[in-house]
Amino acid sequence: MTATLRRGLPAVALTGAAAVIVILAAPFIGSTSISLARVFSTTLPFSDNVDAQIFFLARLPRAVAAAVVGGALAAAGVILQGLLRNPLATPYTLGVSTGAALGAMIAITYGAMLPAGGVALASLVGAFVAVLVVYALASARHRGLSTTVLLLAGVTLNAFFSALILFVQYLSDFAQTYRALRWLMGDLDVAGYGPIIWALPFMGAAFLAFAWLARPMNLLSLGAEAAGTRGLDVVRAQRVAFFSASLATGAAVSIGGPIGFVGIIIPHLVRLVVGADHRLVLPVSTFVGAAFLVACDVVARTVFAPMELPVGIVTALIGGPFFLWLLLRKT
Amino acid sequence: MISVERLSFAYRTTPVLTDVSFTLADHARVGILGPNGSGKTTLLKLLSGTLAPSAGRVRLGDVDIAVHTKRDLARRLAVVPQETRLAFDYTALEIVLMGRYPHLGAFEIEGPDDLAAAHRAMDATGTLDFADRGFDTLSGGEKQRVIIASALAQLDQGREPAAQRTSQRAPRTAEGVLLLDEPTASLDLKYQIEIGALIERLHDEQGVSIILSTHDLRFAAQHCSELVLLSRGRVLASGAPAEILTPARVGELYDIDAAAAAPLVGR
Amino acid sequence: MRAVAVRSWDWRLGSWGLSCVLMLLFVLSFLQASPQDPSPKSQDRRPVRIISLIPAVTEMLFAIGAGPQVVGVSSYDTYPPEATTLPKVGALVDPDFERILTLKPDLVVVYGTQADLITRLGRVNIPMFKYQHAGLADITTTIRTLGARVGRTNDASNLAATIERGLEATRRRVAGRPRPKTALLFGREPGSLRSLFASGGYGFMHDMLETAGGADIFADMKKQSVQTSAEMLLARSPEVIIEVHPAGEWTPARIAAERKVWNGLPSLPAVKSDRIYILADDRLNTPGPRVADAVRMLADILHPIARSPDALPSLHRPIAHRR
Repeated sequence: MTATLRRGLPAVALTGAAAVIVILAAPFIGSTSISLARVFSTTLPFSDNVDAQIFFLARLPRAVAAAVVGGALAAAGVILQGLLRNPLATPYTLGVSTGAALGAMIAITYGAMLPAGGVALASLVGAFVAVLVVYALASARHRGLSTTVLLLAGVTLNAFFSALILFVQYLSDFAQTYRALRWLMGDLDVAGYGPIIWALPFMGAAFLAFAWLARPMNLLSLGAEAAGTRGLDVVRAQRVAFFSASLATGAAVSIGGPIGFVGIIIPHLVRLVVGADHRLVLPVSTFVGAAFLVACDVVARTVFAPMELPVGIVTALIGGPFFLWLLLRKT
Repeated sequence: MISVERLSFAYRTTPVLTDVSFTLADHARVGILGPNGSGKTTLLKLLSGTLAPSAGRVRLGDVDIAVHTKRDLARRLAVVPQETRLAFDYTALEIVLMGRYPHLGAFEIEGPDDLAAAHRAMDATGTLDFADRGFDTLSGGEKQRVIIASALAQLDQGREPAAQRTSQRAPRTAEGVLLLDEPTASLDLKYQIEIGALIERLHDEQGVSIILSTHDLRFAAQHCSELVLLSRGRVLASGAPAEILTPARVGELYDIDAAAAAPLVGR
Repeated sequence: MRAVAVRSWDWRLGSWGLSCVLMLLFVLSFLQASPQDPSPKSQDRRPVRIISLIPAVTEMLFAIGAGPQVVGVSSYDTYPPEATTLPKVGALVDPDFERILTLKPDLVVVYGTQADLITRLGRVNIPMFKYQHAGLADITTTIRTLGARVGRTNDASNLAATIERGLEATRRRVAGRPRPKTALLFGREPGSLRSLFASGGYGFMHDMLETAGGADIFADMKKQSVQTSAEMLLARSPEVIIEVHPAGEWTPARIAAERKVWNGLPSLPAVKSDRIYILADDRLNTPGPRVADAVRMLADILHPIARSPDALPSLHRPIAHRR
């Protein structure tokens, strides 16, 4: 094990512990005051225990959802930045979120008869469509994945799908448009564990791929050709990176909407502290992303209580200035 | 030993290399010399397996390199590109350790053997002093040495070679081939000399075979034991520098007058 | 490469900008405004070619006998049936200016936030009646002003008086009764308890609920629409939950299935006592002349014992479902 890797291990343990603490602490904070004794009371039946229900049915699933979404977005950001060799890439650069948004818009506008979770399902389908279109564009006429074409295809698809989103919104009525807009701002009030459990297989597959990708991502930052001469199957690594990052992003967006900035500021911050090695950057970003989004959601639901601020606005208010600072710092 | 048999390569319909054949002795120090656009870089990419030939083949030992797995090939052949730009700022040591990739399993973490290999490579290239510095903070010459160290670590078998060429202990990199693409192109004179000396030292002390491409006649003549002259995708001549570097050939190679070429080859 | 990534940011910022504009539009549409704006010019002339871009006002026009004067309606108009056969000229965000002109109107009912349309109509000197949703009391005020404007003063004041009597009757009927804590929702993601939108403590829906003898649990949030959460509902423990949806979309089978979704929050008093009502009825979300019926319907739900002797037949249709 290398010296830097060994030095980074405490960071992994520390951020992992911090994430767990934040997730467990978040349900105790909220606009309503709940009594701990009542939450864990064994005498009161659960169906009558309002405090326990606020804790276990409203806040805990919300904290867990925020952690899953935050961790997935941060890790997907790391992978896409590595794949595109561009530290300014986000999980949304390649069109996944716009595809998901289009799916959700269509479901909200025309899917009044959809079964439970219809919006989440539609957003996942939309994300997959976007991913396949971008992949087809980027791999056509190339032996591997051209990252330049990947970027161009993503940006073009983003523009095209956002035009379609506006078109769908134009056709929808006012209440639907409002709901759709609210979806775009991000919402982690999942009101139960269903959406999380539903997304877990996708997340699990994506994170398994991420674990394998850590070292190939290091090689890829030397450049695709140099990585190839070190024995890496570059095309396969790029494919796995593209699809796994898209899968994690699509699943995250289907839970919480396209919450911005987590996927770019967290990897940046983490690289400043632990260096560039993806074997550290990936787990630490996942933990920090999880803790960050849980904290943002606590802010979102308490700062203007009893009103709730969309969590995407909180991350944007923190992330926007941070991003500017980052740009100014670089130049 | 590397042998190139009737190798041709074309980008779509534009031929870049045509019917190139030569054989390189084991433990050679070979320069592929030619003007810009003569196909040097393409030839190097064909030798490293980065590109697949349109016709012909490259053999490492007795085996076509297309038959090797990428990992096997990478343990025998390491490439130092002309210039390396990183997407993220790794330390010099991390770059060198990336050379250990073909020696490790999918989820394996570098062990003491790999650290030792990295240490040997950095020692041989004089890069130990800045092992923990960020790659982007290094000078051009230092960066090039770190990349060479990474390639050397890649060729390090981590054990004594099975077949020893001489009675004395052979270095662990003795079976490796180091491919350098224009190693001095972006360096100033001081670093050019430094890299030239380093290449010779690696060849002599680490036992690696060297194949480098260059358009620099003097650099090639000074540091290579064998030359392949490449002109418009064809081999003009190959052999020891003293034998093949005649004013007429150099003139033809660079498309200049033979009389003007004479002082370049010291005649 | 970098430039491309930055451009994708531009796009995202652009979409946020657009979202903000649309949000603003939405918020503005609920600001309290005076419903009358008599244009001084053609005040004396009785308009005979009216276009209404607002379903609630269309209903009012027909209810005061000005139906024959209407020549165009919005694309969302569904009531009364006569109105649905008239030419449609767009709606709030997409009024079709050319079609409006083609119909040669002498009065156009516009929404107060349609600034662009108002400017263009002003430029061609077409008189306008500007309207915006507000509280319950504003409905009858609007009817009276509208009646005066279209030459139907007597019919309008009769209708307004009838509505006011109806509201007063309901108010008297529920007076002194315990007011159940009620959540009045008009948006929810089907099949889940996500994206919950409720009536806040302002606007005609809130007024309707309070008039019908319910205590709005979101009365402290002074907005027409608030997004709420599972926690907020648990904390405020409504005794009755009423969901209002557009007519037509919700079949009885679907309503039965959607009611079960609420079992996810078993401690809610409304869930325990099975007082969840899913109503697909446009009267409940239209601030028009049928509002007294709507309030009576709400009162019948909130105070079943004090149900009016002339309880609306509509309650027996499969609109309000109790298990």
